[in-house]
Amino acid sequence: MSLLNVGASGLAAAYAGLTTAGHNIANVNTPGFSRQQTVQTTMPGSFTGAGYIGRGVAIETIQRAYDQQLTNQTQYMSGQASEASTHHALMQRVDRLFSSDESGLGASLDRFFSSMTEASSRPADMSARATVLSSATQMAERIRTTGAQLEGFGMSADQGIRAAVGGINDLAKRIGGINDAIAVARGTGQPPNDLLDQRDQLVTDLSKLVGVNAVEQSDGSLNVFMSSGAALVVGSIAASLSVAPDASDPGRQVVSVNSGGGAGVVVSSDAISGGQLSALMKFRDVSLVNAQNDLGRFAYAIGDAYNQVHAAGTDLNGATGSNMFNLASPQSYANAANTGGASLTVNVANANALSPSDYRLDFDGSNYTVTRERDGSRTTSATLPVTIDGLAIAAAGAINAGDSFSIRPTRGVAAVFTTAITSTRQLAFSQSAASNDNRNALALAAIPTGSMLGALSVSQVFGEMASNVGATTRSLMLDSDASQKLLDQARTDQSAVSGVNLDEEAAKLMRYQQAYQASAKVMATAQTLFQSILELGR
Amino acid sequence: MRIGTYYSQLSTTDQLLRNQFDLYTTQSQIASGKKINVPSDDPGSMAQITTSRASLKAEASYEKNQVYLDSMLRTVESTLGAVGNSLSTAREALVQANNATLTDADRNSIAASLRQRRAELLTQANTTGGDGQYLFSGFQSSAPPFADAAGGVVFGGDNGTRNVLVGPSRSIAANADGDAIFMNIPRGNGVFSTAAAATNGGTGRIETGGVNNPAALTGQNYEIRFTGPANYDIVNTSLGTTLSSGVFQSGTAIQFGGMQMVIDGQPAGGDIFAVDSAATQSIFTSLDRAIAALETPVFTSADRARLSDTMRGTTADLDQAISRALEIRGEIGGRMNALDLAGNISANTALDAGTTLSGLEDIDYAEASTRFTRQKTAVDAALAAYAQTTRGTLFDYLR
Repeated sequence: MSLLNVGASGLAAAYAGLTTAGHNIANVNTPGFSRQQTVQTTMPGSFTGAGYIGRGVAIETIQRAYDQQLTNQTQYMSGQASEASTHHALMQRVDRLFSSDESGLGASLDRFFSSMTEASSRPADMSARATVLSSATQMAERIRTTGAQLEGFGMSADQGIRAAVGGINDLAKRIGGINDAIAVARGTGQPPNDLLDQRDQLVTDLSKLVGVNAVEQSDGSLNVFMSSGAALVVGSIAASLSVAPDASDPGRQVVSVNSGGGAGVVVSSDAISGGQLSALMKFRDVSLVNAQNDLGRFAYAIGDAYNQVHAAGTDLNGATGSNMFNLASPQSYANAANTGGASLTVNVANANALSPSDYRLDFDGSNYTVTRERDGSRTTSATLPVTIDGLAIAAAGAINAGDSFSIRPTRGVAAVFTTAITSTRQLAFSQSAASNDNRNALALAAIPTGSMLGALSVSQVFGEMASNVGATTRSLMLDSDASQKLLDQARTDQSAVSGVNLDEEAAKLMRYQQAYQASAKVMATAQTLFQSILELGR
Repeated sequence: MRIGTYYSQLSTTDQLLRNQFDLYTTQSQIASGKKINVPSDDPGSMAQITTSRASLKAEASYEKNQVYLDSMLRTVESTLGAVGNSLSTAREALVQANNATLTDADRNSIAASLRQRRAELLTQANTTGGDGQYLFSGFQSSAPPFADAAGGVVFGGDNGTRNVLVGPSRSIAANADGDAIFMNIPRGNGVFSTAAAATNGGTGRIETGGVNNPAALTGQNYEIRFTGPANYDIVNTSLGTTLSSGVFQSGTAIQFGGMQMVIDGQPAGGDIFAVDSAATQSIFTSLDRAIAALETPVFTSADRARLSDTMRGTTADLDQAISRALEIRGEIGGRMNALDLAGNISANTALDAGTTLSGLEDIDYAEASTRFTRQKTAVDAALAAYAQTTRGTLFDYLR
């Protein structure tokens, strides 16, 4: 009788092995699946006078091939690679705006300068004047379009942030749900392998949206934290992220974490790392702002240089030169949490001293501190107005201790850059109203060869700007390549442990099939033996 | 080491895609001939690329200005040549008119030819360049700068110099000062001029004279006043003082204030010879005076002496005008040399900028085609390997 049982146990073990191999083969293309294997053990023998006689085999458990450390590594690298490639893809769009081809911004600047050089020798030639006006308009349009495109990238980054936040909230909820299911399943004493795989895959997906740390608890549930330290999932409870306007800049959206009641905690772009959300925030708040400020400062400096020289001349109507270009004044915002009612007035005192940075002004009750946000350098003054980097900052109204203001000197300049003159007669080429007097035209034509921002020529400043954008894009590309390689490595390592190898499964199938057939033979033998005994009594 | 079937195929496909992308990048570089299309292709070279490109564009516009300036200068130069010719012809007529054997009718016909020269010169003074602008009007351009008015020709232009940019911070003047060429010509020998008074009764004629001691020049005006046929006083009319007195001897030089001049013939008592410093006169006034003198009938020897003095004085004035025109032509020639130089500089700068740009931007075809071949081989090999490794598993052998 025991032989039949031994055969049956072998049959069951082989069947479990075949099913498990079949499950592995079925999931060969399932992302996040860890191959499973049966763990067999010998049943304790039954004691006889002749010693222990074997009773067959038992399946102890179904184990998944898994390495926590390799899984964490893959999740971490997924976040890093997703951040780097997202940031790189976003920055490539900016990079293309500064391309050096004939239709680019640089070429339109060169055409404007050339038209001015040619018109300066023929101040009375109306067609030369018309060329100056049209090339100035084209240049302004290129600057404006580039500025508007950069603003558009900011808006689509905001949309991307909303989408990422939606995705994060969804994944956090699902992880919380699976945590619950796993805790229940663990009650059976056997690991719920496929739920565990699903949860790991959800954490990997979440990592692609925002970098997280996952810590397994003793009850089998997984707590998930963002790299800022804020908890996203604790047990079955998921926090939610929300998007709302920034208190210090109404045009900007910030992400905050609401973990169970109370006011949300704002997540700043430098506090989180990994994932699309981090990439979108870093792109919008750093890379894009730098490009916008660089372009705005460049546009302001050029416009101001032409306006000043133009104002020193006389146009064909005998009037003093008006502004050639319309320039937007610096923007400033009072923080929504300010208790005083003051507003700032910021003007450009010296366009050539402008820096490509945003500023923050804080008042602590006795001193005003102006922080240059690009490099964090601070200037403290006991009184206002104060002049910093070519900006004259004054305030009107009461400022209380703790009040703060944001200053955006050049960010909006490019998107509204237009020519102020509309007629060729308004070009102030002379210093005497005589139509062949070209003295002011010569001064206008000399602007590109003179120095402006930081004692560089216009084309050097433009080159520097393009080079900044290019260098940022290139280093993101290298980051992206490097993190992709590391991710590949981590996946290879993980796949070596957890991945399904079809050859291996085929071998297992054969092995278990043979075991199955052999066990069946054992049972057949037991049957034959039983028959033999029955025949004895005939 | 195990290989996960799923991931190994996935990463092989990824790698294949990446190889194909590299191949595509190289292929598009070869097609466009450029290795830099966006700043991130070579951020470190962007500053050099933009400045080289700007420099190329700028030099192209300077070259256009140079072509314009060249045509302007050639027109000014040839016009000044024509002015010189008209003046020389007029001068020859004046020399001819000084011939004592001529009749009033002969002189009238010479006067008529001088009127023609005057008309020619007026047309030349109002010449326009290829762009329709007056050459000698300075900054003014709306009307002809030289107008024939009742009291003679008046100049409506100014002395504005229209500079043309021929390089970064290099400019060359395109026009010439009409006032200096036609209006403001020094008289006599260029330092002072001599003239017999119209009221002189004697036959004394004064020569143009010269400077014998530049250090002693005062820049003041003098008169040689004959108190009798043999005696004269030298009066400084600027100060109203009598400088000295002398005994007249025909053909002997009279010297004072660093100047010397000869009076010959026989002046009468009361005759006055003026010696004016720094006086200027227009070409047209000089011709007007000669024409008026030629059209005045000659009856007496005093009339002849006056005519002869006017002819001599005007000849000296025209000599000054001719030398002024020559001097400015020389200056224009100098500008043309400077223009040639500027053209060379522009061409070299543009060549340098073009070479730099090409070195930074243009693809090295030899390198690119080697790279292309290498990448093509890699893609082909990867494709073949992929086909081989994914072809079969153990399942294929299970029957």
